[in-house]
Amino acid sequence: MDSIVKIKQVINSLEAQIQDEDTKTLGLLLTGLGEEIQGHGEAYTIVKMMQSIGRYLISRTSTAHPNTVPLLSSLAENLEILVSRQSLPKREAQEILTGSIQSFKSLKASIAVFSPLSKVEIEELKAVILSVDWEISNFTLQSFDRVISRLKEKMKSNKLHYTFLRIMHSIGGYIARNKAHADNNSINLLQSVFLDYEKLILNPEMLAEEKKQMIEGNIRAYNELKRGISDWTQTDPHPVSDDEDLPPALSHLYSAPAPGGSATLRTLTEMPERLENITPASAAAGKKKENLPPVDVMGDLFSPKTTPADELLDAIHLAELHGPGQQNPADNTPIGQEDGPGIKTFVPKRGGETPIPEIESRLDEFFNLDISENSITELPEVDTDGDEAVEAFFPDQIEPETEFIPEPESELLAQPEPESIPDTEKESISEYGSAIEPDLTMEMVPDDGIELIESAEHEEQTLLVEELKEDSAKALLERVKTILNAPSELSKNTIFTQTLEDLSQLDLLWETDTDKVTLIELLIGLTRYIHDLENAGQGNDLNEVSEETSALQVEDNPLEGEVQETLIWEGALPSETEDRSTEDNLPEDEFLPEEDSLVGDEIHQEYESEENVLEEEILEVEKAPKGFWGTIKSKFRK
Amino acid sequence: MYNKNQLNAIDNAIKNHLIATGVDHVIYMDMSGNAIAKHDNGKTALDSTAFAALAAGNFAAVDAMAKLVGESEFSLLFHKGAKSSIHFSKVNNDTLLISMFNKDISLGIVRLKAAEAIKEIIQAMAE
Amino acid sequence: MALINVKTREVQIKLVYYGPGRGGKTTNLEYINQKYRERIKTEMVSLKTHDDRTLFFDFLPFDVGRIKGFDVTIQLYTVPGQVKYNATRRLVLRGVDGIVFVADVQKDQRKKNIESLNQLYENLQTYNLDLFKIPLIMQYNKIDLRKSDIPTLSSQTLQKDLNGLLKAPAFEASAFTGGNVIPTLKKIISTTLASIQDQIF
Repeated sequence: MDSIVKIKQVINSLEAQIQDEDTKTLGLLLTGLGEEIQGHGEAYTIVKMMQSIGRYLISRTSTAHPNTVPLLSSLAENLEILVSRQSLPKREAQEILTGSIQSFKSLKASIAVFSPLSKVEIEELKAVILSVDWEISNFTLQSFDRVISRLKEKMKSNKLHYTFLRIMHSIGGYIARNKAHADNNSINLLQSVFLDYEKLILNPEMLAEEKKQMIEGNIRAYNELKRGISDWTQTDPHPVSDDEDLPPALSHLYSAPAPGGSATLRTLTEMPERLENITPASAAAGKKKENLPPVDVMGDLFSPKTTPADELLDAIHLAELHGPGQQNPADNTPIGQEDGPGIKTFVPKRGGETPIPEIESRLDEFFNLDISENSITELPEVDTDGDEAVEAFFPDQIEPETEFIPEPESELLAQPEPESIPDTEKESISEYGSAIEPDLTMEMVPDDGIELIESAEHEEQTLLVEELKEDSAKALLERVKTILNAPSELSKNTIFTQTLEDLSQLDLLWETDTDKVTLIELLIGLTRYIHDLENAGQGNDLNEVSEETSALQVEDNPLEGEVQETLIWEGALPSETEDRSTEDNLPEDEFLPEEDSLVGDEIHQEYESEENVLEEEILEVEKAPKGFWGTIKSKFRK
Repeated sequence: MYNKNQLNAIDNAIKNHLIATGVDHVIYMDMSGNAIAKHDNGKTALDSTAFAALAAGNFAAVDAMAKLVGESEFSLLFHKGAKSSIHFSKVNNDTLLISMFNKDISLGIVRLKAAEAIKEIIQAMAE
Repeated sequence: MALINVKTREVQIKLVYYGPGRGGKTTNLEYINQKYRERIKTEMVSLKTHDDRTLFFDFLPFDVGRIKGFDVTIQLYTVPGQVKYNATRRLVLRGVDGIVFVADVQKDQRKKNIESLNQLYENLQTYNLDLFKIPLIMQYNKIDLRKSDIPTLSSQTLQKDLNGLLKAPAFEASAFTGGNVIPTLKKIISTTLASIQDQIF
């Protein structure tokens, strides 16, 4: 038959060399033949056997048992006989079939105990693995690599063997790369994988299930090792001890340490407990989160898997160009270069200069939350530029009659541009807006910048009329004081209006003296407030008000020094604690009376004492130089 | 004689390279059998005085054998046991580094680590 | 560089917290921001990954008020610490006026501290700035770990490793609990201002 002839041809070529092409062709031919002679009894059985052998050949190719192809050949012969000689007696046919079956079975048995690797090859493999165990050097590792690669090539059709070899090869590669720093377990694993492999080879009759379990176990162990190694390398694989000599930083620049004093080291002996996040501002700012929500859009920057986001990140960070202007970082403006009108840029130099005391005191103040740390009786330093500093805190032109339109309650995103220079005060005021409770809205105080308010031209006139003013001032003041001593009177509209008028007049009288003007403003505000409160049936800040008026009285002879003295306030100061949660929720005209306590350094700053008079909210704004008065006014004018 | 810095360096070299890898005992000693530095992993006990004395003798004997077969010295002196093994390394003409380790660690690794430790020790001595 | 507007009487200085990854730079700023929330009032910009690594930088601007008639604004920045993001670090350093170097006292960070500082020197060079001249404070952070099992470096070692040549004022600190965070900040502000005070005050 044609097909049988073809089959024989293929088998011939297989005898020379087992190639994939041929085995596949054989398989196809045999399948075809099987269909052809389905009913044929003995011949069909032989074809089935051949098909089975064919499949084996396909899977094993060159590692198939050496008797495979010869058997195929003889089976093909037998088949031909059975098919071609129709008149063959039954007994003969049976004999042929029996013979074929026997041969087939014996091949099967041989295959079962067949090891694809020769003894020599196994010894060789053992040798290289042991040599690596004994000595990790390029020589041993190269030999190892050579042997394993060869075996891999040979066994690539046998999945089981190939996997074992792959695992061993990979471990070997790892050891070769890391040498002394290779994980101990890697060599141990190499050993154990080899032992299993050896077992597999020496016991080819091992059940498929067993073999499967063995290889799976080894794969698991290998993956574990891999995991262990990657964890390990994420921390510093070269842990350095404290005492080990590492070249100090920057030592490549200078050979010997610069002469001069040693660097001061400030130790930390007590560590405070981590502060609870109880700031009310943050509660208020809960509307606006301080940090981005933990949406893992970017993922872990170091996770081995890269998402498109990771790649983008890397592109951003690792790109050469970050944007315009980055290419010329060295183009530094020299010291004192004028960038624009009145704008200079400086490059600070660590010149070992001691900071002027104002710097230190300002910082101490700003960062001092504790009242106990500072002495409250400490007088403020009399600044030679006292005027400037004092007036700096007050806006230059307070217009008491101006209607202030409160801003709508909104979250002001205070993220000022780092480089921007606010042209007007307005912008800088808005910066403070965000953390302030909604009811304390900021309004814009028209202001032309901090310049000496008292233009010289007014001074003469002021001096002349001063005497006159003093008398009327006294009178007015007295009246106001009387009223304020009995604040319940303020509920009456007539008295209220009168008081306001008095205060306005005082304001006018003292318009050249900003300190007094400010105090008057306060009083006006207070008066209104009390009026409202009284009408609402509450009232509290009596002491403060009367003390304030006393202060004003003493101030009849304005002298710079006195300003400071009279404004030192030792009572009725709400404490500035971080627990301001209540304030956040305060509706407009209400506040909770706070206990009298002392706020440390605020007191002894010349320009801050005014704050002490009143509400807690003001203290929050305490360092807002320009918008401060605006705040108070807006607060009270509602 | 060894000054404090040198001794510290030697200690560190041994700890970082050998003990850290899992070696059980390490002795840095002179050829007379005196231990200069001793380290262990805290788990196994060893009579280090006797050990050092015997090690010195052993090394001297093997060295003599080397000369007899025409070698100036042997590069590997290693005794393998069922559970514990010993590895000898010559640091210089006067001193030896002995490592004792169990079957969890391969000889190949121990040899490499010992070589690293010795490099550092020699460096420390040069200063 | 310090920006001084003599007309509006404002001074702005830029301070950068620099150091190896996970050393505590962001924690410093977070502590400052939280503790002085009332006074700072401005938002802190913090770009972080899921596990709290700084992505680009953290930014916290605030006014300390008036000094000698000038409003002083401080801009605090941190840089991403991961080794591979040096270009970003360099970018953030642009125009810096003062630096706080936050070192990690953990023993296994020793090398990273040194490498980071060396790299800082080079990064500053690209702007013609000299680490030896720019206002600088060293902070040895995570000092709270001294009480734990984690091995830490002694301040002596840190000084030798990092500060032997620079001789900058140094602070032990625990940013997480806040220890010495403010003193560090005050010191860098005052040192930086002092270096330009002749020009303004």
